[in-house]
Amino acid sequence: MKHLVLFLTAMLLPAIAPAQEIRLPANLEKLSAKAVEVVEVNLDQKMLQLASRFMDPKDPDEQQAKRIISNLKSVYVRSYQFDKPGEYSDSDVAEIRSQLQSPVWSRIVGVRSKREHENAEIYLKSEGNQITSLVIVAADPQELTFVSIDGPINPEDLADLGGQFHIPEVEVQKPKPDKGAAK
Amino acid sequence: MKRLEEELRAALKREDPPLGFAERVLARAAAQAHQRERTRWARFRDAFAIHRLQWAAAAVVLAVIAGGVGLRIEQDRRAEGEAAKRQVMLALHIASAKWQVAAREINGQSNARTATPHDETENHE
Repeated sequence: MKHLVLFLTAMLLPAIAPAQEIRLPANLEKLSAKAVEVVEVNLDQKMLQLASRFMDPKDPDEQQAKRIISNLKSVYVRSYQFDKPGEYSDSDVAEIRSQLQSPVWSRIVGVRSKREHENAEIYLKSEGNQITSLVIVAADPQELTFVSIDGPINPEDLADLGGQFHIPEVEVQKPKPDKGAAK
Repeated sequence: MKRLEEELRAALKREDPPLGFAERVLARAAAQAHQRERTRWARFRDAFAIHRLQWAAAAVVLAVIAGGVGLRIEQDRRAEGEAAKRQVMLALHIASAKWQVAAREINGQSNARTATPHDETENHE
């Protein structure tokens, strides 16, 4: 009986275990045909290690990048820019969002701005105190961006990059606790 | 008839070889064998001597080809590394920029939360 339970567990484990990486849906790839500008970055661990060997030790941006990618397993980016709104629909990112509904993922930020029409969601997967994966889904009417970073990463490193790469740094403030919710 | 017999007998009479004949035959055979061997080696040596320049040219060509292949492999590896580096920088640039979008919205909305209820922000941090 004990062996049977072990056998069934071994057989069922792959089915119930959460996927290690986010799969890019095929319909996301189809958007590249409609987009006027496409960025596709696929970097596995081997490529990340290769890239880190070519980082200029005198360049602070590259040294920061080297530090960030040193333990990463993969980095995938898809960014589609469209010449007019309405070229993509919510269903195009629904499959990614559905993968991120798994309990191992926590959505730490979900921003929907009616003023700027910019939506951004940040999901984290963690083991203990260590963040092991990060996914960003950002959408505005003419741009859809998906970033998946697999491997131990400190999100503050990404925030720190605000001072690098010529991007003005923005201070992240935690919203004040809602008094109503605290009751 | 008798004379014929005598002539035949004289012609077919067994005669011993001159003294040292066998040694001279063996010595000559050995000398010819040595000569043949020397000739073969000399031919090979001469052939090599004739083609020495060609061998040297072939070695130089091989060295140049090996060097070229090595250089090409190194150039390809460097190009691949530089391309990977550019992709990393681009990916981090985009990730950082999108992080900044979220951060900017959180900052802006938390500042104006009570004033303008236009935006919805969920921060689970």
